Amino acid sequence: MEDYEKCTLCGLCKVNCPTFQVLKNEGDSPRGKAILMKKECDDPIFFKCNLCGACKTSCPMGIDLGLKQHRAKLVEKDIQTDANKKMIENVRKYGNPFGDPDDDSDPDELYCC
Amino acid sequence: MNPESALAKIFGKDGVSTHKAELLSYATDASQIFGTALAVVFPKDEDHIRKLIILASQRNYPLVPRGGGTALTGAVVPDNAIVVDFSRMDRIIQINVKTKEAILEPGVIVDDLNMELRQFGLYFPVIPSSHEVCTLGGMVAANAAGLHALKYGKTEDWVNGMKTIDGTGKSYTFNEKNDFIGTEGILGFITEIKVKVTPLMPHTYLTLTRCKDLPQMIGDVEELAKDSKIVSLEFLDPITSKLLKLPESYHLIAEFVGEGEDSDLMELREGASVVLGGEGYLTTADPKLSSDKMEEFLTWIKENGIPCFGHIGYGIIHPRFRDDQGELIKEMFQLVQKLGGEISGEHGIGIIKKEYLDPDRKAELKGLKYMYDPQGIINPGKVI
Ligand SMILES: Cc1cc2nc3c(=O)[nH]c(=O)nc-3n(C[C@H](O)[C@H](O)[C@H](O)COP(=O)(O)OP(=O)(O)OC[C@H]3O[C@@H](n4cnc5c(N)ncnc54)[C@H](O)[C@@H]3O)c2cc1C
Ligand code: SF4
Ligand code: SF4
Repeated sequence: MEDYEKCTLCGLCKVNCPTFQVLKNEGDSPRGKAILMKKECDDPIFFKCNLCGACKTSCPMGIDLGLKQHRAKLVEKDIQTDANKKMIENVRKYGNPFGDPDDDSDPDELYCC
Repeated sequence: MNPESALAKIFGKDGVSTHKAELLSYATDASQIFGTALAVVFPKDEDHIRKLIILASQRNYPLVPRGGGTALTGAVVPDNAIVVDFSRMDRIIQINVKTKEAILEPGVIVDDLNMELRQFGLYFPVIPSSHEVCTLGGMVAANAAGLHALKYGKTEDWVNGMKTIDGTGKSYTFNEKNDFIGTEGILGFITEIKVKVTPLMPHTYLTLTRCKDLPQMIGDVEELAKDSKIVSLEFLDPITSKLLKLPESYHLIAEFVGEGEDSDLMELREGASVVLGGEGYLTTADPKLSSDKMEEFLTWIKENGIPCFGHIGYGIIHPRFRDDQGELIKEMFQLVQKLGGEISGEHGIGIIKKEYLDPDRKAELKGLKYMYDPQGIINPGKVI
């Protein structure tokens, strides 16, 4: 049994989730993500997450939702955000997520997770 | 009929979502019952709510008021409804230190309120175990109780006033107890709450008592409850005690005002729910029994091998069940009714306890529903 399957959907992990605290949308909360995993709903919403692990720390059962591994699976299925794609492209090409180090102009966008 | 564009006119693009994955996240609460959300909206003020009700009434969209979504009863599960998430209506409007009152928007989380109150040496003393994420709106609607219910009672005892809007769009200002408290959002929306607050509780200490058997525990509860310094009185049954690595007997955890050694006994009590969950006992109930019926009730619970713990000083017991024990849950509620107890002491009725609601209370609530929400668009399918 994967850890996320044991999640009781109590919602207590929302308290320290930086993404939820800013966006205040259940869909962006760790519990929201647990629901999507239980219901096998693949969606780029998993990229609205810092992979900080605060949800595991605040879960009374210490559940690790395995968000990093889940995201890797989504990337394999090409379910991801444009920002994530660009970041991977930058890392592969320039060795950093932000782009060409020799480009002195101010970037319009910063690509990172 | 897609409600998105009409809703966006009221709430703006950022205040509404019909994204499939987000709607799935709003399809349930801590009950793990799943429904279907048509859309979710994030009101910022009363005007949003009023406009939403007009739209919903014209198009017959059901609306589900939602706070932190920690209901254990299915009370915020949408049945093809629009979920109204109050999380962004979370301003502490005023703290009046002189009158010891606070005026709040309904999405304020009880811990956030207490963090603000602390600087004035004050606090809001109804603290459910979900205190880190549950909102005052949800607490008022569910009439939640906390660990210190023995001393401080339930949420209703701390409400000094409210603003609400019913299912017809009519606004109300109350200065006292009213129909919207404890009716689980079936009559309308709570848009503002005035609560009483109290000076911070003085230092407390905890004690753990091992009881030889059930009759001894019941006797001890009676004695301890008379102590004027007691603020909480919790119990663990032998199954839960053993899982928490205590001897396999009944235990009482009592909290008293006064100087005593700090201990981690409350963490022990709070760990009860977690260890039972880990053993597959995921469904929780919350019957309330009078002290003279407690022994008979707990004897039945014990005979059926049901693990339990709870706020015994306040009469609320939390028996825990596995997923396949539906029949046993039914039997338990029948026993609670026979013993003249309440089928819900704190979590509310929602969907899962509807069939056990007292017929007189059901008739009363149906009358109120007809009065405040004749079209039946606010939180339909719950409680009654
Ligand atoms: C781990 C855990 C521990 C818990 N411990 C306790 C406990 O110790 N004591 C206790 O009493 N309960 C407890 N509960 C149950 C639950 O947390 C409480 O009922 C709480 O008050 C719900 O608050 P909420 O903000 O999450 O509301 P929600 O779950 O979102 O909603 C609860 C009810 O309020 C209504 N509602 C919400 N906001 C509004 C509004 N603005 N206007 C009208 N209606 C509204 C909803 O429709 C629903 O009927 C616990 C739950 C969990 C998951
Ligand atoms: S890992 Fe992601 S979901 Fe968990 S707390 Fe951090 S941001 Fe939130
Ligand atoms: S991960 Fe833990 S805290 Fe979060 S909803 Fe699941 S059980 Fe609750």
